[in-house]
Amino acid sequence: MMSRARLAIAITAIGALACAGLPLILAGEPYLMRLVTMFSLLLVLAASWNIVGGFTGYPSFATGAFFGLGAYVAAILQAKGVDWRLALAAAGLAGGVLAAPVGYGVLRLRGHYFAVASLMLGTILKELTTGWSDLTGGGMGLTIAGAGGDPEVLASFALRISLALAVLTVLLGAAIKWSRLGFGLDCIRMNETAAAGIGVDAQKLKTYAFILSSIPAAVAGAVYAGWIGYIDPTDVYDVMWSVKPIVAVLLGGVGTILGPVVGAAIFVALEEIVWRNVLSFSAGGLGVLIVLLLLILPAGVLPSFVSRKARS
Amino acid sequence: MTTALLDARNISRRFGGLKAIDDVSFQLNEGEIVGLIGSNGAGKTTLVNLVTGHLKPSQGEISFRGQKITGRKPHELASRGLMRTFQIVQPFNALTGLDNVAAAAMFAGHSRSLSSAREQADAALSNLGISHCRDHLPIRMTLAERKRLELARAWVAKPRLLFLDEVNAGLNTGEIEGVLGMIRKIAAEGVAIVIIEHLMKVVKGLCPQLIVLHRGQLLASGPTDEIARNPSVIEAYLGTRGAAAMLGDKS
Repeated sequence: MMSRARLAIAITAIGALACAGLPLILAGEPYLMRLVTMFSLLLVLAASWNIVGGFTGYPSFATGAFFGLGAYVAAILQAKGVDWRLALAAAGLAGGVLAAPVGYGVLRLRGHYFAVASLMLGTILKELTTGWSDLTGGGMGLTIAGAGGDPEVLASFALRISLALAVLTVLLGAAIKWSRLGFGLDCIRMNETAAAGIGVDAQKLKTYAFILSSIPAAVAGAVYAGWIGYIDPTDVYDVMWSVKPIVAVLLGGVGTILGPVVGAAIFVALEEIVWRNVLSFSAGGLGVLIVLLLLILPAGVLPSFVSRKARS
Repeated sequence: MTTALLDARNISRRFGGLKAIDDVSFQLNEGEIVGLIGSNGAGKTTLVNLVTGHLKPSQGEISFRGQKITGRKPHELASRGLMRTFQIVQPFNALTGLDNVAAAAMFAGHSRSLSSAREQADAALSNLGISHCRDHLPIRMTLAERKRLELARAWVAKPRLLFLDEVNAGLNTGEIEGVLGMIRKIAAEGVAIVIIEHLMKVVKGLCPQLIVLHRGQLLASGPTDEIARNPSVIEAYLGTRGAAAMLGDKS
């Protein structure tokens, strides 16, 4: 097994290389650029879901809520002339601020109850956003000016930002997993009663995990809004923003550091293959493929591969 | 007069119409070993749940080391030095023996880092004679080993007061001897221990003091010899033969 320091350095180095190199390599390839940007955004959501769903064992369906919130916060601020960097930071902050009370309340529930309650958050935000049309444009949506209108510059910029965010989120996951917080989350996932018995403040640690997981998801929404240039409630609060990251992590390896990376790559690749070949039944085809993969490799690709290697 | 380590005053707990614990008061002192006995359904585990924060009393007040703890959460009490084991063992199934104990050193024992928590855990495992479980997952351990693992968790957390809920249940005679040895080692560190136990031999050998519950009420409390002669305890729980067995060696 690779040592922690080496793994962290490897993630950082590969990530930095990708951020610097890929926009140059892929220049003039808008399709591939779009694909890698989509992969990066999915990776951000997957790695952030992994903190709550994987490390802590609470199957959250709230990822899409934070994604949508981040998209709207950044879009509204940028429409008012706020600098994009500030807008991204504000989106992350808004995600964290919303996650604190919601997490503290909803994380008292377990299993199915928690899953359903977390799913409601996105629905509520979607209704609020649609209703508050003075601020959000309601069902008409919002347009974001973007990088001076040049699509190539914008695409390259979005690629770089989303890759960087993905690397940071994977590193955040590693930092949590290897920390005292991660050890506590491990105990909570395995046996919450026993965790309380040895002094683990489960309510506090779960809430921390929820907050830390919401921030990258919200920033991802902000990046997405700036990249696409137009958002409306049905797009950014789509439940698929909650479901896809879960599927990606299940494919890659739940609770592992690199599982989200592998899973997001497989997911994006599958999605593209299916879209190209069976357009008329694409969602169904994708679903069947995912179910098959999960049946063959229930622990996810990464753990199955690692344990097979360890056995041989 | 010094303040008691634990002071429970008039605590009651109702489950609907049932009074599982009815106006029970008792005190525990630093470093003493007390047996908590009573027939099935007498309210022993409920009493432990009330004192360790797993249940809230319907009435009454509990203080620990001079501070009111009524209604406090289990994790808070654990980190203040009031711990318990469970009747059904509660290991962390995907952690090795070492990390099961290190988790307790980390959170209840306030270790600074994982490496120092693991050092303490390692010492606890060898001290308590279960070093061979160091790298095993709990699923590969025997019940006796898992019970010892729970005791090792309590050991590294350095509590002031430890409740052991039927720690010998399901063990054979040889295994019980091993566990008793561990309990004596923990007690030798000055930890006050309350043992819920059905085996009179164990109670007699380990506990100078007893608390007897009967149908949710405190039937008697005091030195073990006196309790064994108490007619109402004999009638309600021990029976004449049980009482004779408890006094046997001494008379």
